Amino acid sequence: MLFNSISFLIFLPVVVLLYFSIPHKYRWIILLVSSYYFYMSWKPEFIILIIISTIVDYGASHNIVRSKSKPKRIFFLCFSLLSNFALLFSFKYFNFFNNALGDFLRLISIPWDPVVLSVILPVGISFYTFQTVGYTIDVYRGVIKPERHFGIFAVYVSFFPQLVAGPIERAKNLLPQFYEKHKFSYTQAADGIKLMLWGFFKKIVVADRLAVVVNAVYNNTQNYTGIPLILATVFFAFQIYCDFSGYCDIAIGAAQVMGFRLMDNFKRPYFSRSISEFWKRWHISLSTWFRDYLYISIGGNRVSIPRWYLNIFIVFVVSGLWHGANWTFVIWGALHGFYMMFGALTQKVRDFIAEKIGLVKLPKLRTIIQVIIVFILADIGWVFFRANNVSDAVYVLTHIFPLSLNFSGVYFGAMTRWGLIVAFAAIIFMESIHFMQEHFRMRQFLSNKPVVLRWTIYLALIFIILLFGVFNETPFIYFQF
Amino acid sequence: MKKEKIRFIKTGIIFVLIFIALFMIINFVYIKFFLSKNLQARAEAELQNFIKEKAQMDYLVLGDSHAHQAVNPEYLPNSFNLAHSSNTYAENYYKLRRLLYDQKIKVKYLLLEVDMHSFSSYMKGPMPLKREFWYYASFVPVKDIRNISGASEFDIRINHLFPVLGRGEDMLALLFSKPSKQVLGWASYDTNISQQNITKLTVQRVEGQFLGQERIDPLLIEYYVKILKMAREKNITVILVKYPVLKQYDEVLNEMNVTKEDYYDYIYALASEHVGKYYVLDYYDLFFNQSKYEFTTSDYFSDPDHVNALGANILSEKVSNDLKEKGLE
Repeated sequence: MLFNSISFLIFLPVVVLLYFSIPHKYRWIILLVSSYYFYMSWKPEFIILIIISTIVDYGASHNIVRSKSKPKRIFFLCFSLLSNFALLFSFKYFNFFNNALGDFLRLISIPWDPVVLSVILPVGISFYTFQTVGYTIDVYRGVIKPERHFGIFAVYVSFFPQLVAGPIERAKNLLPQFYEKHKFSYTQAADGIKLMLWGFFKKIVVADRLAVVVNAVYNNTQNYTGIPLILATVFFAFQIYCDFSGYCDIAIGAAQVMGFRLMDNFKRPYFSRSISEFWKRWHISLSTWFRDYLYISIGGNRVSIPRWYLNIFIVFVVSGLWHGANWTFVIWGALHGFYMMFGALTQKVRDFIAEKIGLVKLPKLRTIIQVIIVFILADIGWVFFRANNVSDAVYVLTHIFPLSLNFSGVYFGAMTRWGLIVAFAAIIFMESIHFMQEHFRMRQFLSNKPVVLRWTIYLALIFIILLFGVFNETPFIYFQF
Repeated sequence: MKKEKIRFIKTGIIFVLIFIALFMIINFVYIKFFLSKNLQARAEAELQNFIKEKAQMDYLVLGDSHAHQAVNPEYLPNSFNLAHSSNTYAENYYKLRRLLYDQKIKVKYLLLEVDMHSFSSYMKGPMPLKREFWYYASFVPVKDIRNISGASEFDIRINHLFPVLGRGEDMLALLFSKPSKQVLGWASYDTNISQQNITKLTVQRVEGQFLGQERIDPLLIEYYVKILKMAREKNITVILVKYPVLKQYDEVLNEMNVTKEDYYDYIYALASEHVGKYYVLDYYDLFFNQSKYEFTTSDYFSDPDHVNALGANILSEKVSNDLKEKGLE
């Protein structure tokens, strides 16, 4: 079930109504049934994978705690990790690695006919796998105690607002909330709905509109050179941001209506002054997951400098692979790993240059320059992320210049001149609202204003969505991961 | 908690009622003042005026934007151009069916477009039956629209009743842009391809229409045959028309090995099978020979496969003369 579908707009109020209508001790049943229904409305058979993950991690976590010896604890941890990653590998990575192996063997003249598994990728498998794996590691590390109530644990694994595309919640944050006796709160519900509305705006008005141009260009890259390639890449940067952060806003808002607090996943990432800051503002739940469960596990920064750089690089390559079984994602991850290493290596030199040319005395100008550079670097990465294959990405990067302002004959899909104007206006409007939200706490500011003004603003936003939205129920990009 | 719930529900109901009232007003304003300026809606209004006065139509033009931009009915007595941008044989079939059976109009000659791209699966991408529910749901069975578009009945009915949904962009365009001229369904475009990058545009256009597409789509064939059968049933003479393209378009087609002979053999064989006698007006290469024309041939086109008003008037005159020559008056 898609958030941007009529069925979800019926499903959510029904679930909320039922949730607050029944006694607290039975509410987990409503959440579990609705979460399974939510997932099964896509491909019912894949619910079995969620159930397997739930059983494996529930069992493993209890055995880890029960086991007296370290080898046994490690065994149960490994059992959980292997089971979860085996499922993920089979559905997501088998064909990729098999083909890569085939290519390599052919390169050294060993004949190999790779077996191709014809399976479709279960929606959200990377998200719930990482969430359950995180839980088991936390139990192993003693950060949390294993959840006793199997039903509540099953809800933790499958909680519908964040099941298919995150935020990847920590057990420490989410599990205790299922025990909280949530009371219906007018303010909370209204705030949740407002956040959902904002998410719909980002998804339906901005992301799906920009997708028209992005798809037209990136599905036929060879037909374009210069500015259209830049425009499509910049549009993709905002498309993926609005698509994913829009999803997260809807997820967080839907959970908030029922009284749950999910973690923030985005904090205006395109206003970052460095790549490391970008990763503190972009897909925060995944970045922190990799930091806590992979980066620290392989030594973090408590190692020699070369090893530290290697650790950073490994984390980003794995993060790229997490996004998809394609070399484009691996290169995207590696590129960000390289940015991080290069950033760390040149920090002192860059500070020195800034001081010499007097940029240190002009902090605002320095910030603007840094933000622009980070945006350009992120966009270079997005080229690989969006391109259908590596050769398309290379084509885009090598055909940006010379820049020509002659747009005659450039085909931007079904996008009209007015469509482009609306797209630019929507991006500017969205970033302005984000800026105001960060600096003036817009929602709180608005809540003190007269009802006529507030409702006018809400109605205006609804009508903007209804009039300028692209209503083709395009799935969220991160569903494929 | 109960008080909070009641307050929330009360406020919610008031908000929703205000929203519904405003939405109805905006939808009404859109239909009344914006949609009426839309080419399809204007063509519909012109058709209604036409059938109010006459019960017979001598020449009916059907097709997509090629025909829509090419045949000026002022050159043909008692005629109407019912073709429209992106129309496939499916849309044309339902339009013809409505005209003949619901509106009870007698049609003598049907000028049906059969261009190189007409049966390509590319045509199914922007099919109006998949999105122009506000128009088609008023005369096409919802079941048929559902089968073709894959949209749910709910979506079709909602969009039929509330065409304003997702039309903000159109509203801006209709508000700030000068509407195109339209006469008896014919869209007159003054734009000129000569100032543009013709080669690049032509390659993109041909690739879009043929690259990776099914050359002859079964759905389009199905409706083409339905049109032919309906024409025979109603004793309408079928005239298959090939509209002009730029020479560069033909060159790109040849480079891409898009064959013409076997394609037309098949299309004509179907016509022969279902209507018996039919006629062909072939204007594909009408503008290939530069020496015949006052201006550069590209001056007659708005893009590689669409004539502009200048080209349309030359073509329409030729159609009129050719019909007379063939005794199709």
